[in-house]
Amino acid sequence: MELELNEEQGLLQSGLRQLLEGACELRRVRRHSYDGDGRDPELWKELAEGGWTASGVPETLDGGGLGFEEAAIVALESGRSLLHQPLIETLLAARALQRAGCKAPLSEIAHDGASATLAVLELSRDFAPDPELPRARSTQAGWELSGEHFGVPFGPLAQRCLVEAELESGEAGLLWVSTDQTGVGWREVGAMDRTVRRYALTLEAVEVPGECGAGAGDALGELPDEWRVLLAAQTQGACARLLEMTVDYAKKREQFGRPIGANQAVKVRLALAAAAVERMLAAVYHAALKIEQGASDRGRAAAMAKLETASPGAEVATQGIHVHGALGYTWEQDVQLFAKRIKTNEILLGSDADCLERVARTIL
Amino acid sequence: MNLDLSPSEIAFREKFRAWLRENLTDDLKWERVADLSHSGAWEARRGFERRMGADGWLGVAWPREYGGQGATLLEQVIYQEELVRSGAPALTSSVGLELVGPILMEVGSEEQRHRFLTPILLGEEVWYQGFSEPNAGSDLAGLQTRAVLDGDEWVIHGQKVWGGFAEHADWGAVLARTDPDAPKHRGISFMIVPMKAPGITVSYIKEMTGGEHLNEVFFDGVRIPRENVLGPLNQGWRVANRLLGYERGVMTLPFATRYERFWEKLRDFASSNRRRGERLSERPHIRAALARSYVDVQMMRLANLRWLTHYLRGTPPAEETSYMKVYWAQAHQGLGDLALELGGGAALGLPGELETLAAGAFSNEWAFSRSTTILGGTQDIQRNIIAERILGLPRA
Ligand SMILES: Cc1cc2nc3c(=O)[nH]c(=O)nc-3n(C[C@H](O)[C@H](O)[C@H](O)COP(=O)(O)OP(=O)(O)OC[C@H]3O[C@@H](n4cnc5c(N)ncnc54)[C@H](O)[C@@H]3O)c2cc1C
Repeated sequence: MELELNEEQGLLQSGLRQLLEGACELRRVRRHSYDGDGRDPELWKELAEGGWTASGVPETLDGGGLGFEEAAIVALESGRSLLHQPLIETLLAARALQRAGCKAPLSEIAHDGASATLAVLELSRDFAPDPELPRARSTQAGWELSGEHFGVPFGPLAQRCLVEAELESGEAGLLWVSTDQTGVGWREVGAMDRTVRRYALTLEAVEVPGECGAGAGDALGELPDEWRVLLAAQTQGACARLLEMTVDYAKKREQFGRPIGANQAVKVRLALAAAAVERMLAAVYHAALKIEQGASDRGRAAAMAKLETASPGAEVATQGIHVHGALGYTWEQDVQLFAKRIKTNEILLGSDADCLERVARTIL
Repeated sequence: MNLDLSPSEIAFREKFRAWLRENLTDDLKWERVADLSHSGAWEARRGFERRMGADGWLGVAWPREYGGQGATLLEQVIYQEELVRSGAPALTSSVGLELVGPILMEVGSEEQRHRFLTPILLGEEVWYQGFSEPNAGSDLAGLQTRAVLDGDEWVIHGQKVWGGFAEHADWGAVLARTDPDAPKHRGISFMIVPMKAPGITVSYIKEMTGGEHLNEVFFDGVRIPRENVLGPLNQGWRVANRLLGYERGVMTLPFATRYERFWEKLRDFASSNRRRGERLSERPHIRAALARSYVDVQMMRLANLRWLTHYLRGTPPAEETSYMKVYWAQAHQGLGDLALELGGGAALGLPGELETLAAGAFSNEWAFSRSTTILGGTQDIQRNIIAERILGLPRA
């Protein structure tokens, strides 16, 4: 029985944390995401050189060959640093591509350092009332893809997009397109968390070479659950950092001649937040383990992890802002950056009611 | 990561399961013997524990040199979970096994160990825990029970409250003030008191469940030999506190097992009962409530298992046990609330009353679960510990 990182995983985590503490400071996140155009090719290059962007590609295809527990570690750290690049999306794309047996795209991730995002129906549904899957018609060269997706994270800021589409057979398939390809259109939509910009995607007779697509129905199956767990992990990381910042502030800020953190009312807020953050980690590890094992109850474990981080995460964020007083309400204070990521992750891919029903279906 | 048991852990579990199957007959199960006011209930529980002791199934955690099995922490958890799963009653020997025994091994004199350890291990002697007092609850170190040396004897005056089994116990582990002039944490000693001694009066307190398990104990000039102090004189606070954290640490895992069983009862109830023309388990808010409570119980277990992993790797338990107490209370009170929501009006009578659903089990669980934020260090005290000792916020 081991529900904790092993030594090697611990080293992996501290390696990535160190890299991100240096290369992805909050000042930089603000500069690129809020003041700039969202792109940060140098940071992506640094992540690629460290092997992180290809970590989800199998070793036989020159990737890092990391499993899902490690993917969760990457997501934890991406939340802690508020990483503004499509790293977990690229990891998830690599896993799905591998299940679908699509070698060429995996090679782009491994050799060209390609970044990827994901356009799937389940996320589209969070942004549009009745989205339909784009359709893929088979052609001599491969596929021709037309239709729409909504709420795609990073959109054209990533180089490739893995698109869920309905094949002529009626099956769902995954197709690999370049985000700047002819026929691919992006329209940015509002996203209070500017560190993950959002886009509507239109596909007009986009040509996709044949390798990827057919028989990929199973490959998609896992993707939403995996994404839920990585969002949960990201929220845990973001909450842990936000809580640390808030505890530090509560020790330093003085009113009535004592640190505000000496007041029991403040202590209770922070203790409850800490208890929530602590539990989130167990939920994330448990779900990562179940997915890694391909266990039959992995869907439930994923919903539990999402549930443990969704509204509890948003509550931690709210407390973080509150304990900072009016300062916490300002644009300049960093807690609000974390709060927006956490709140966004809560709402997407299943908030409380949806995840409770996912759990209920497996036990009732 | 993995959640699997090793072959030797599985073997350990199977061995204990087999023993329980053989020895825990229906008349000994929790429902039948929980209420000690029923005639024969106490004797039945004692008899069962003596059998456990004789076959080596008490004190499995104790080191082999003291007659235990030297069980690993994970085996201890397995042991406790099996005990709960089997439907066995809570052990009347637990204060001896989990509190007094380990303290004896650590700080007891040669004679004390010789005198007390074996009877605990064989289930022959019952211990009472006399810590809390009417004016010393959360602030336990403010306790006022006094022990004064008179020749070769201590003379004890005072009152304890909330401990159980006081009427039946052979021995009491009693915290008493032995130096009234010292700062409050440094004037307390850990006394071993024969509970049948003259001057001790025991009474019962009726709980909101209607049950009577908690005692008031009055000490009126009780005389005990001078050597009945456990550990150094005036160091009783430190001696007692070594083990209090353990109480709310991974040892809350067996409660998760108990709650899983209760949750299953609620699920079965929801899927076989209708209200206002609809099956309960088909109503969206009931489904959500059942799922929520399931998740709380599972999370209580998983959060514990993560820390258990740390302990198994050699990190000693510390203040994080306060987190476990917080989750425990949340899971239990949630279940209690859910039980009454499912049961509706028909469940609102207490056990023993007329026509109460599930023989009052639902309302009983609701009432009983109100105690979980109080016992073993209240929820507020746990939050203080988290804030001050884990997060490092300034003390008030
Ligand atoms: C079912 C049950 C079994 C028990 N078994 C035993 C036993 O076997 N042996 C034993 O010795 N004791 C036992 N106890 C007693 C238990 O340990 C005490 O009840 C507990 O420590 C609280 O003390 P109190 O009841 O005096 O409440 P108080 O300490 O008076 O607290 C009253 C309220 O004030 C709050 N409060 C107190 N101090 C603070 C603070 N500093 N900050 C914020 N809030 C505060 C508390 O949280 C609580 O809500 C048992 C209690 C119960 C309910």
